[in-house]
Amino acid sequence: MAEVKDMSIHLTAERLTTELKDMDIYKGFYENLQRLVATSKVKETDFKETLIDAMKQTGLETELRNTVYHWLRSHKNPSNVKEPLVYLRKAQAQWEKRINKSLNSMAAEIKVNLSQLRTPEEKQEMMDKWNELSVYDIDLSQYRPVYAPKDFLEVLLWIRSPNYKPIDGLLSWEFIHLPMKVKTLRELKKFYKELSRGEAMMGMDINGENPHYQHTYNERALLGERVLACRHAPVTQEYLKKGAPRSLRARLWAQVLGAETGPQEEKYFQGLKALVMQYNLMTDKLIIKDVQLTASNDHQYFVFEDVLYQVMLCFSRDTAVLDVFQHSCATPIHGILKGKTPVLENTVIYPPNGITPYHGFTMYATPFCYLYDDPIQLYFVFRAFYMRYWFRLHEVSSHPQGVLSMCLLFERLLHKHEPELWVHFKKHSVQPIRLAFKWIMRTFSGHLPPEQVLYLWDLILGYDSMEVVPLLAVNILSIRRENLLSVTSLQNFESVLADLSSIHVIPLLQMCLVNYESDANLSLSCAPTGRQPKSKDGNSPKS
Amino acid sequence: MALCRARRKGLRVSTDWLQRFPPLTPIALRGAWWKGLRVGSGWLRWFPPLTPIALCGSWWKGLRHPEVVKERDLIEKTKKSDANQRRRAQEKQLHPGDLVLMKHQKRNKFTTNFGDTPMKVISKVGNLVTVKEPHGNIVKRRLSNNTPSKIKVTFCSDLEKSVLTNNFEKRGWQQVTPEEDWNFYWAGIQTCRTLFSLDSGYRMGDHQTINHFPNHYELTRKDLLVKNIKRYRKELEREGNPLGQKQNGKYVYLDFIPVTFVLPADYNMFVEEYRKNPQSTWIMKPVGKSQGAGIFLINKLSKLKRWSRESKAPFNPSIVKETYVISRYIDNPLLIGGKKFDMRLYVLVTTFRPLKAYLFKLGFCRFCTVKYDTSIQELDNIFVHLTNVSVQRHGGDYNSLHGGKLSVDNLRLYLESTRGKPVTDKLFETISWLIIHSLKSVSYIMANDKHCFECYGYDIIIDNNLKPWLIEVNASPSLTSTTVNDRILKNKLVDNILSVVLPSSGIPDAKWSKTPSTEALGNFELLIDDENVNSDSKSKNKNIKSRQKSLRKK
Repeated sequence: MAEVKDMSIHLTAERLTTELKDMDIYKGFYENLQRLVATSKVKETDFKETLIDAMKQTGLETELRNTVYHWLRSHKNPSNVKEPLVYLRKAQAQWEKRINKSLNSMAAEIKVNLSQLRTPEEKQEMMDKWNELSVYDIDLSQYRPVYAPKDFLEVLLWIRSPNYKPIDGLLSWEFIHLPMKVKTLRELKKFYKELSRGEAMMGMDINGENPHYQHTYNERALLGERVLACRHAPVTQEYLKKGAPRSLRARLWAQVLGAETGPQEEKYFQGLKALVMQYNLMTDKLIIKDVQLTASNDHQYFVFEDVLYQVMLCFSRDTAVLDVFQHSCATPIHGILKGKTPVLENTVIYPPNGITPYHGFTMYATPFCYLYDDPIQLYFVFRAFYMRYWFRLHEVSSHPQGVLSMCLLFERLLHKHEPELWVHFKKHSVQPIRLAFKWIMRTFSGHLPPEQVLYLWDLILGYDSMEVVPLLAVNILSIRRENLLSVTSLQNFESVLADLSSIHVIPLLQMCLVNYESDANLSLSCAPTGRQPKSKDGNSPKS
Repeated sequence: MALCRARRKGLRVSTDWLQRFPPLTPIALRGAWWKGLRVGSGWLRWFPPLTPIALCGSWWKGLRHPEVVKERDLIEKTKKSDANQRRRAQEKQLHPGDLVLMKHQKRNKFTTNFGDTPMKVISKVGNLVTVKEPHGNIVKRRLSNNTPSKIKVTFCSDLEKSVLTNNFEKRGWQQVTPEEDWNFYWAGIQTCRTLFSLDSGYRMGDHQTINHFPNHYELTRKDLLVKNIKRYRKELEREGNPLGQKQNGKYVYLDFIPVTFVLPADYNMFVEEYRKNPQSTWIMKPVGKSQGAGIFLINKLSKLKRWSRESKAPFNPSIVKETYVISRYIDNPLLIGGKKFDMRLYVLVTTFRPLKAYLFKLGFCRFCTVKYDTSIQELDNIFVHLTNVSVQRHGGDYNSLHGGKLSVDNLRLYLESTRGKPVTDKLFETISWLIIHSLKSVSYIMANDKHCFECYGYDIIIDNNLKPWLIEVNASPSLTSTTVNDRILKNKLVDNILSVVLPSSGIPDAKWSKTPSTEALGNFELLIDDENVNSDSKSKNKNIKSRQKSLRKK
């Protein structure tokens, strides 16, 4: 067994060394290393030891470690198997076909080309207005978002497992039939153990009323400075499990995602900008429309409208995003160049980053506006976040971090721990997932106040998992239980849940995780009563 | 004329009175009022046959009817005797949660209801009412015909704003006209001026409250604010107070308003200042106007000269009289998303001596719709420079969903994340600091009427060094809601104002110490309380001291 393990480590290491050589940073790193070897610090007699020492001193070692860490995180799942379940693969293919068709039909309807070069005048206009794209006046009345979360939910609800035969013939009410494993609340409690311990965390004080919070804050801020100083991504990740102080979050996130910017990144961004100037895509209008529909009308994000245009337009030109298709089950849409024969050389990916924006896509980027002044830094953190997490939220896959698993987790938790609500929904034939789907698909961005979204995303980064999102969704339903039980229609359910400005993420999650099984109280957000008998199995951890 | 005089003596003439005694001679009245009689309509119902002359005579002899204690008692009593039927009907409608005043059984039947503390009705069975006393005791009281009476607080308002009336009605208050008896008046500035003017002779009773101080303009008129702050700084400097310290001709701690002059009075001083720095831009504002009316920017002295020549044109002599203030334009404002903004903060003052002020935590920032641009071509584009909602609303890019308003909480989040916590904390501390000192600068001039409170709208601009500048103070900040969030915010504002300015009984009381409980504060936080220097404000003082130290180090 140990041999096999050794073997696999060896194999991984081999792959790593070959891939490292292809990375952008390799050249600079290698040069620095050579320069280091030439200094007097490295001795010929004891080459290995002194080199490692010198690397540690100059910070080259941390750089190497971080690179390996980021590489490992992005290669968690074997890239050769895209999607093991055939029917899901089929559903995804069909979904892509639909998007493709709707893009083409829109283009035909409005009579615009999917892509075309900008004339010099257009280019100049775009150049002039780059910093103020909100005044870039184009007629968008005919454009409409390709799809909205609701449409995608319909697709998901129509997925059928061929191995599942419903007894009553009723279907598409829930995802329960999907043969995927999701965590139970007990497993979640174990997984989020820092949260479950009920320790002091960032984001705990609700109205600045807690006098001890200031103390916690100072302590965390001090520790955070040290974490930043050691520049080691795994340490930062560990630190984020207990939340980041506002003033350090921007740097912490950039560090944990390996998205620090330098002159090289700036050049890259300018390159993307040049590409935006060069040609005009139909998706550009969709992006502008989406920013207008979401961020520009939002009282929390309207200020950042112009930055968002820049970021989203550059994002659509960024071919580095195509990397996600290596380990996602989606495939980008291919277009054939006009007037050319449909052979491989003449096909291009459309849009260049392979991602068709949908209604609300901008919301993935909006919370970052509160963190970064500089559009370049904002762009790279957003891209890293997207390539790590968000791309799974709009594809059909059985990946444990995919949107299907999130929906399933939401349903299982609700079913098990809020049976009363579940029955209530069933009675009025409202699918509970309909209430939470847009939250999950946008990971609450635009639904919760920005600060709460940032706390939630801290946890996503810290635990490297999005499972906290459905957990929070269930908790919100649970805390509004009384109000939900008093109404009966989907519309009224939605209006009960429309305003989430009073929700505080960290206290809510802690309350649920700490209380679960510590007092045999199955209900999620009930205050601990302490007098009820212990749960039957009696091995409640850390009660 | 005579009536007017009588009024000055404190007479309140109700319409009833005049209807009943049309031939009433003012002279007789005068005699009566001289002795301190105050008559409400109820009095007359009790003594219908009493002629004014008789009245006059009896008071003259010092005869005082034992029952005439206070005008208000009388009113209360008549209301009772008059509308006994109605009241009984009201009693029957008593609901759990209502506040009632239980009259002490043993007191003589003429004592007032008003001094008692109200109690909460818990349940009512037949005529047996269970009430919760203020100490928490739960007692049962039998309802007799005249024991409990529901207090009706009356209000009137000059502004027909739903945020106001909703809040008043939520408290079960009854609307009356200004001529009638009111307890709470949300008045416009004009009404207030008339009410407090000597001619009106109106005197407010203990149970009346109004939302302006008589001479609030000392703080809220642009020229007087500047004058008062300048004087305050000079006084501190003369006293040798460390706060009045100067460095390079600038006050170290009290430099929070842009350099400002009143035109035409200070024209020469302005020219002198202008010559020191001919590159800078100046902003002209008419003293008496609001909402951005009549404001323009100048960058050359010649432009000002031309303006003054034009305004003195013979065909338009009215403008000449208008006073302007000219201030150095903050040309390096903090920009977010490339746009300029200013902050609107609400500050509630319940008394000026001792100074008690509260800051509303839910202020907001108002953004321009157009990118900020200092170029000369854009100097006349008001959408670039003026943040007033009333101005921005007319711009083509105005969005009615958010109205260009960002909450101060989100501003803080943004600043802390992008600029760091220490500088953000310092910014917000400095803002509190400038509010406190702007209030202190007028605290000795302000007529500290105990019936008054006032909610000011502070306009503050932050420059890109994160230094706040006080632009102006509004006496009656807009209560118009432009968006949904705005409505929620203003609703909370009015609600919290009411709970801070009223004692826990919910009835206006001029004799109350004006020390609200911490629960009553809601979204207000205490800025300064000169009277109750408890541990809390001590720590604040400490903060101020440490701030001074840190500033000095700089």
